[in-house]
Amino acid sequence: MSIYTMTLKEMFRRPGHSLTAFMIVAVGVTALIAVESIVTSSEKKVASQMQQLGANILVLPEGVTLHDYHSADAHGKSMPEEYVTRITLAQAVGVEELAPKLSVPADLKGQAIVVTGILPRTDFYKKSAWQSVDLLTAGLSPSAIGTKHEGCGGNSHQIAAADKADLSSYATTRVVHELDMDALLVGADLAKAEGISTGDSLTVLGANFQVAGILPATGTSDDGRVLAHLHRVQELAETGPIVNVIEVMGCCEEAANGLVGDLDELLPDARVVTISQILETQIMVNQVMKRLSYAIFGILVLLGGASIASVMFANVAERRRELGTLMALGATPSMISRMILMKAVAIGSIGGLCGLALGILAAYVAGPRFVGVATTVSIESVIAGLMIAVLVAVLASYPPARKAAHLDPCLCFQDA
Amino acid sequence: MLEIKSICKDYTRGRRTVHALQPTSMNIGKGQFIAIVGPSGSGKSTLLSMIGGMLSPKSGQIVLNGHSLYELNIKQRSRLRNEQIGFLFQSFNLVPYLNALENVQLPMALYGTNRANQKKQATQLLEELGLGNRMDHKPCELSAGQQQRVAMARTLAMRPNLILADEPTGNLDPGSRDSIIQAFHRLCAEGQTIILVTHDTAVSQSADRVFQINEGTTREESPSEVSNAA
Repeated sequence: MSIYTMTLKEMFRRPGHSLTAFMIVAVGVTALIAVESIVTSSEKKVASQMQQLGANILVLPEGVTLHDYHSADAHGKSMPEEYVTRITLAQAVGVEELAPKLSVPADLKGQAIVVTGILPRTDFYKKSAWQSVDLLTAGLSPSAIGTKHEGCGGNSHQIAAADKADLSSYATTRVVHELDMDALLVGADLAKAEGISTGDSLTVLGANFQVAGILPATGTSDDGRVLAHLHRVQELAETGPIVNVIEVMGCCEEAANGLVGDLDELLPDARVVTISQILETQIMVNQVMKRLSYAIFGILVLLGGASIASVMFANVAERRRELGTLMALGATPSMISRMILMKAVAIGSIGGLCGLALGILAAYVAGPRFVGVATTVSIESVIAGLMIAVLVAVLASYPPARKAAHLDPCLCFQDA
Repeated sequence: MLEIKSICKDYTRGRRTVHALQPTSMNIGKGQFIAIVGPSGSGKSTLLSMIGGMLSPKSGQIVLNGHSLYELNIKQRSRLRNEQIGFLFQSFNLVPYLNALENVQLPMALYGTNRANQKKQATQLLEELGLGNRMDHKPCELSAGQQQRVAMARTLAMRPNLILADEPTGNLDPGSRDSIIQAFHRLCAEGQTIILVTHDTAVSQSADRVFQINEGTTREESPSEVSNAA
């Protein structure tokens, strides 16, 4: 037998006494691990979205608020397609691509879907609703719509020559080079669910289309959509020349920031937002959640510490006779305090491990379900959670351990 | 073997000082069976605590086998207590969550004896005391007499030179009491010294020497006089 086994036997003699301390430590660690992991994953997602979407700007109808770039056209409000003309005519600095979109509800094989009208790049330079622009665009560089932004390499969203025939390039560039009036692009999830493949004929909005390509999965709402030519969608849905959103792809962040002011001035009845602004809400939510997680953890640490200290003080008081007897048998004060601190380490470790398990589970379940992010738990969080749990337990048990070490050994002679 | 040189102890309660033990001296040899008698609150347990190195005297000195107890630091004194002094208590003071075997192993565990030796010696002691079939039992599963025998085995685990017993027969029936007294005599015959605090005249009359404490004052008496004095 050793002092260690003795400590464990004492602890499990009446586990109910330590249960409160265990639970509070576990809850604290669960909160830390779950919230920290979700927030970190959410931050990574935001960073990845910003990286992926680049220096894009959205021109939206007035009064539209949105939190998801990929659903920017799913708000039901519209604005004149003529806004595209205005932007083109203005030849704003650093504009590389323009992508107007119109989304309308439709039916595909009895299933409700969204058909999004997009304008292929070639049409933009040829005949369109803004015929007067032809004269102006004819003199522009084929690689940009606005004038070139000085000191910038550009081409963050340009379709590479090799990708011009690849319709699936839309998934990354947000524009396609060419799209026939009777062609459809189908999102990956929808194609899989309905068993659609390239070359299939489909009836959408009462007209026959041929599937020109299946878009690769992006993990966004695009995966469940059907894309068709903007003017075909306008014609079939009888909406007239309107759009829900115009994506403006800037060559760089600096150019995008400059464009916001220019476009605001140009389109006073529209709302102009950058990617950063769209993601701002998510970033703010992340920050608030992170602060909240630290606050919750701090409160639980204090509560856990106080609870552990209280349990330990009660334990020392209850064991006065036993501890006095151990001293009479030759235990030194340091052995006695070590026994109490060992118990604290055990409470911190067991509570911490339970908290880790629950926290990891909560992160994996709650992350995708409530925040929409696939959560990963970092090893740093796991180590930090466990170390903090043990540290709090040990620090909270130090005063009771000290008290135990200074007990009067003559207590062993007093009758209970 | 044990020299007690003019030790005294005062307790302060508020402004009042209580003289728990007036200057007391004793010289106790190896293998002696000493009984300390006296009414409750007379200072018997105070004296036992000081001899056991757990309560420092106001003045005086206690020397055990050449070691002046209160000149040692706490760690040295704890070590000396572990190696040379065995305690036996009236209410046994067994650790409730350990079984009989583990309770007996306890002083050896504190000393640092390896587990195999701990178990071997503890088993041997319990078997000698007739508890070979009760080793896995917790104290609450044992009778008072059996608990006292486990406590006795724990006291003897480190083969101490000095055994300090505080009313060890107080909670026992006459049969158990007699077997404990016989065991004490055997131990004394083997060279162990026993100092025992008791109210029991039968026990004190069987001692080699008897010290009567009354209101903190100690006086040696002949064992045959004890019944009148106690």
